[in-house]
Amino acid sequence: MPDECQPDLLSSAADDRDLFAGRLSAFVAPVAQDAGAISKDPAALLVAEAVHAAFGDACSPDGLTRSELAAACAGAVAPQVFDSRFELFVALGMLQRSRDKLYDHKYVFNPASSAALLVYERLSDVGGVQEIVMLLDRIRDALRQGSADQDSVERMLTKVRRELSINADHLLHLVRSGAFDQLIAERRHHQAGDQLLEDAREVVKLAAERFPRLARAGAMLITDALRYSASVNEFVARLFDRAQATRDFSMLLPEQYRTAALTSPLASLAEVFTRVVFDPPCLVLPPEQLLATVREYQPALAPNRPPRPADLPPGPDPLELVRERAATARLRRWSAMQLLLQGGSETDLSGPLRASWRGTVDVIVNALIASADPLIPITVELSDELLVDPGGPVTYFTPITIRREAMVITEVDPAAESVVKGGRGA
Amino acid sequence: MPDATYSLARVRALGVAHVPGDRGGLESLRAAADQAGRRLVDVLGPDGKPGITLGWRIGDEPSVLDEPLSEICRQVTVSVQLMLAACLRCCWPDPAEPLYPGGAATEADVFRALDGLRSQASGPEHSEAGKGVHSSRKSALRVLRACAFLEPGAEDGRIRLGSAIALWTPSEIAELARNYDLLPSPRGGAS
Repeated sequence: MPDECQPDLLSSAADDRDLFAGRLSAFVAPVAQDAGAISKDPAALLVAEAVHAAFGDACSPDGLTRSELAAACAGAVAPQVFDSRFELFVALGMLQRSRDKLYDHKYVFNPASSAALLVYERLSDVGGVQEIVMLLDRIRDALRQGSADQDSVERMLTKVRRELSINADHLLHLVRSGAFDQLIAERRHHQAGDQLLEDAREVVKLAAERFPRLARAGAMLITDALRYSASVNEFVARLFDRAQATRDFSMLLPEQYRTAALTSPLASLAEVFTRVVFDPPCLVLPPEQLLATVREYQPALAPNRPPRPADLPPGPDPLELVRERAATARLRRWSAMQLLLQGGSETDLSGPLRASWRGTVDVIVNALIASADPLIPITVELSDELLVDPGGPVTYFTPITIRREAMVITEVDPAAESVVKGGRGA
Repeated sequence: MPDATYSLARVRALGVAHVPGDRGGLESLRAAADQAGRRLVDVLGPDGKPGITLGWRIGDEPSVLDEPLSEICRQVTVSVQLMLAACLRCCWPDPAEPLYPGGAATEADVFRALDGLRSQASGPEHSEAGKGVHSSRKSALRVLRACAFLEPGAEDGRIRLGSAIALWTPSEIAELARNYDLLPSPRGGAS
């Protein structure tokens, strides 16, 4: 059977399988015919629970057929496991043939077996002590409702006393000779020692008020309840001693951790870690990060007025002179381009215009600078041809085309205006 | 060697430990540190005597952005960073001198240096304005002392740089010295 299909009853979280199997054997011993009456296979109980769940979910008053049951249990137990248990369930009366539909071979679930499954689960989860709690509740209810006579109350008080006595002896035996693992497994079943004592006192008080003759039985019950409570304390003390010596916290339940954290004084909680070594607190803060943060929080600088400019020396403004020189150079360049255009809008220079490298370079450079100047309305296009004249003064030349462009003056620009006017005047 | 390993663990747990009395002990401790990717750094103990602390080997320093480190290390708040910057400036009057161990400064000087910075109320820690500037600064000092960036509170109440500062590399300290004027000064603003 796959592990994920196992319910909690026999899982390690609910209880140890072997321990529960042992407890189950002891539970059935009073009515068993022989020592082999209890299946050692934990799957047996799983099949019964799967069958119980199938009936509980089916809502079918007519019952279920074997095949319907097998299909419903297929997710929880393997088919061969189901088959191995089915006939036994029928033989022992857990599954009963439906009397109305004999020809249908349908089965119904016996409620007595359903109650047994609930008991098994309680036995696994909280052990037999829970039965004492329930018995006390029943006596209390019966006394309050006046539904029990003196003899039945006395019988129940005696039964509770014996239960408490047996559990107290069991705990003392464990404390003296039980292995630590046994104590750990048993601890969940004896969490309510003080509560049991309180419940017993309340029941004895009610019983004595209603049936004064039961005072002696009540006193005996209180004596054994005290003995059980003392056994629980001794049991817990042994657990704590061992846990403290070995620093084993596995015995504490989550709720006990929480309670300790909420209610214990700080010094007691800190005591646990007196022999534990910790790293000192760590803070990674490189100077680079520090400087970045400081930069972010630097105070805003007060606005500084720029210093007054120095007085200009006498004579013409040098900046104005520079501007004039630039305008003159542009005008000269524009005039040179107009000369090349010869009044037209486009011209091709297919050969050197000067009989020297220097003159030819001047023409080309002037044309390229003029083309790059947004205030001179020409464009220059260089051909990808190469003219070669091995015998000439300029041995090679790349033809260029110069075009005049329309110029739009969008703003009042004295420099552009001077070029246009100069061009017109030239 | 086991003794040296235990001694190394002791230095790690204590933060700062006294220098071993014998030369051989110091050498084996140094070897154990080297084997663990760490190095011994000379510092001053809380009693003013020479001590040693554990730093990372140069080049093996963990990065702030390394995820595991960011999980185990406390995140540094802005107020703690600014407090450390002010402490550095107040305890390090001359950037030409070594940063560590530096001098001592009063809390008043350090707080005055912080007064010159832009208010953090407009920064990411808006809630600090409500918490109270003074308690926030005191809290930042406690964090820095706990993490060894400052010496634990001395009887004279003065602030001194802690052993964690000694772990900064020379290049990091040079970077700080270059930006010395950025550090908040008790005389107000950048000097």
